[in-house]
Amino acid sequence: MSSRRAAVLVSALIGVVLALGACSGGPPAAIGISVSGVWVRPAPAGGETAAYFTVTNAGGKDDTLVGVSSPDAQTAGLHKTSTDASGMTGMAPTDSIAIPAGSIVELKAGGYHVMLTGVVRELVIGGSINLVLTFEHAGVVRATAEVKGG
Amino acid sequence: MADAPSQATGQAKPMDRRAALFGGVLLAGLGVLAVWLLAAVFMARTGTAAASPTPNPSDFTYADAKAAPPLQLTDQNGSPFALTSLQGHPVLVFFGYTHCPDVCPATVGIVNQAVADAGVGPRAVFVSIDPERDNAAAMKSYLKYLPPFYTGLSGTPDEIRQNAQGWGVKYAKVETGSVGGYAMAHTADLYLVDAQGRLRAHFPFGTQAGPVAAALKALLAETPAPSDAPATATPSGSAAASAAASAAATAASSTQAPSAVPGALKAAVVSSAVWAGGPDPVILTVGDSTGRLLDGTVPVDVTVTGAGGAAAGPAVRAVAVQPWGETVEYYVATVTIPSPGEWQLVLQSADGRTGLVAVDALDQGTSAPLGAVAPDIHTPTLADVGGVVRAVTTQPNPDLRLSQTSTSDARAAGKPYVVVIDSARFKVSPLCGRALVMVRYLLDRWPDVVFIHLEPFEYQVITEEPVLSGDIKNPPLNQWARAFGLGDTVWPGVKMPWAFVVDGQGVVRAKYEGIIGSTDVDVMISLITGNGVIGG
Repeated sequence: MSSRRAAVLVSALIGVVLALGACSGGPPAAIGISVSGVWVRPAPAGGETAAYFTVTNAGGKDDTLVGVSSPDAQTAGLHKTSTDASGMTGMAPTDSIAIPAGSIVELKAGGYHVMLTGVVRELVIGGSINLVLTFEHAGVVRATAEVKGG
Repeated sequence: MADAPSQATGQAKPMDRRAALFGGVLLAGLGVLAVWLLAAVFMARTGTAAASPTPNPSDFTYADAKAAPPLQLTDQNGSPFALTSLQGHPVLVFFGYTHCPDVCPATVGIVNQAVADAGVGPRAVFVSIDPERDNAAAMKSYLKYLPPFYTGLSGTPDEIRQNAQGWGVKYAKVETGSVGGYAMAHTADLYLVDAQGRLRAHFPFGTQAGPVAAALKALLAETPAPSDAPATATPSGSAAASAAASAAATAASSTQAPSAVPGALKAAVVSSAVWAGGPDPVILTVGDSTGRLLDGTVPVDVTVTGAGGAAAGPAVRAVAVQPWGETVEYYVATVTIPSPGEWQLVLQSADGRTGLVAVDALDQGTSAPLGAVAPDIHTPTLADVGGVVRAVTTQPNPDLRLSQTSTSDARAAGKPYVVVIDSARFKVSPLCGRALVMVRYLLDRWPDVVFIHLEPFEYQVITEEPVLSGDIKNPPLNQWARAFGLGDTVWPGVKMPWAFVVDGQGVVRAKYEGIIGSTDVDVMISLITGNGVIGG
């Protein structure tokens, strides 16, 4: 295991510990990275939906969103919607989303989003779903997405 | 076709929760991306759309109105549809697919917002370009979540190809590598057809609601006020009746509209299905005039009324329920709706506020009736079949807790039970398998309730792969599904999945077909077990 890898793992573990410690409330303790405005569209149990949020990197170090999971869905993945030269709009999985130092990156309709399939329960407006985001440096950030119809 | 009127009638109906689910998702954030897309899409599209010349880039409208390309497909009720049937209304047309998590709901949000801003009259047509997964049943289920002015079209791969080509719409399957299957890339533009059936504007994906609403308003101003005729071609002679009912509903709601009354109640229907011939527990959320939900401590009475406002039964006190761990308070009004079709629930709170919500009551057909004792049958358990898992479930990685107790065991023990009639392998509807996902969630929440999975069809287990006894187009129901009355001919073919919620006395308290909300079942179990009843 390279030392860089080890460092990532350690910071991820710290992230887990801190996040657990903070589960009674308050912002995630990940260094420099904060996630806000987390929401998903309603979906029937077993259905698909997309999650959106804003990542703020207030630190001085570039970071990357490298993974997402949810205890409340069968699969969760980073996707990007784009329109090709022929005018077709579609989405494709993406491995990571860069979060440069000092930047604010929005995951929003028609762009980057988290694709969730097989949500374990119906998502009704006012309800919520849990997401676990993994950043290369900041480690694990847990977030609760509000179900919104807009 | 029992619920056909729900698609055939009007604008006056308040959006229920299903509509509100996707409703009005206005994508304020699209800004920069939209500009980028507009530029990119415009460059790409010029000259590519068979449908049209280049629209005016400032407002996306065409200088020359030409007849819109034809749309001849199948609507959500399984009836033939032609775009010409919507003449007299401005129509927004777009192409997408029901498994689409990002692009299509975004377009739906734009359409809903634009129609809300433009006023009564416009229709919307959602054409599926995913014939492999979307059929009429899938479109119908999807439309449950949308306002009533939508028609959802599907067809064979050839029909879809032909229709899409006429509009210059392209689509392709994209493997996403996920368990969830594939995605579709497609032309996600929005087309506006006027009341005379002419193509008048073409909005690239990413256009916000403002320009769409402006174009709709312009069309509404130039055409005579549209009559509130049915949105879709109603196959029977009930079209006129539906139109009349709809007109009456318009009149009724314009005088009683909750938003027009200070201190009014705003209600939304949560129940996935509302049945005629009750007693049917209709699950509602009730909010005040600002939309803030009542917390369940304010008593609310509910009366069923016809379109003309005449009461169809006595006022019923709704029971307030908050399932454990949930943040929303629900009101459950157990009402008896006289017959299938459009009805209204009039709400009155103890502090004098009133509200109104429309419901589309379904025909119970021969399915095990509400309020009656459930069929006295012994659904098969693992023990009954010598532990051969495939003989009781076709689900991959099944949760065997769903196959350990029979309906008769639950009844003998006086325990409430939920029987989910669904198949992961023999899918007669795109919704099949979803109820099984839902029930696994509920299973962990309610240890004192028996959850049972029942495969609906007859099949043999000779090898590891179960083999259906008949044809998947007309699959043979087994004796237990028949006992629950699912062999009905009221519905075209067999609709799946089903769920029945039965209380400790063996009485059917709720039932669901097609989309089954875990919230529905959660609230019903709370009600039956008394766990989470507010002020109870």
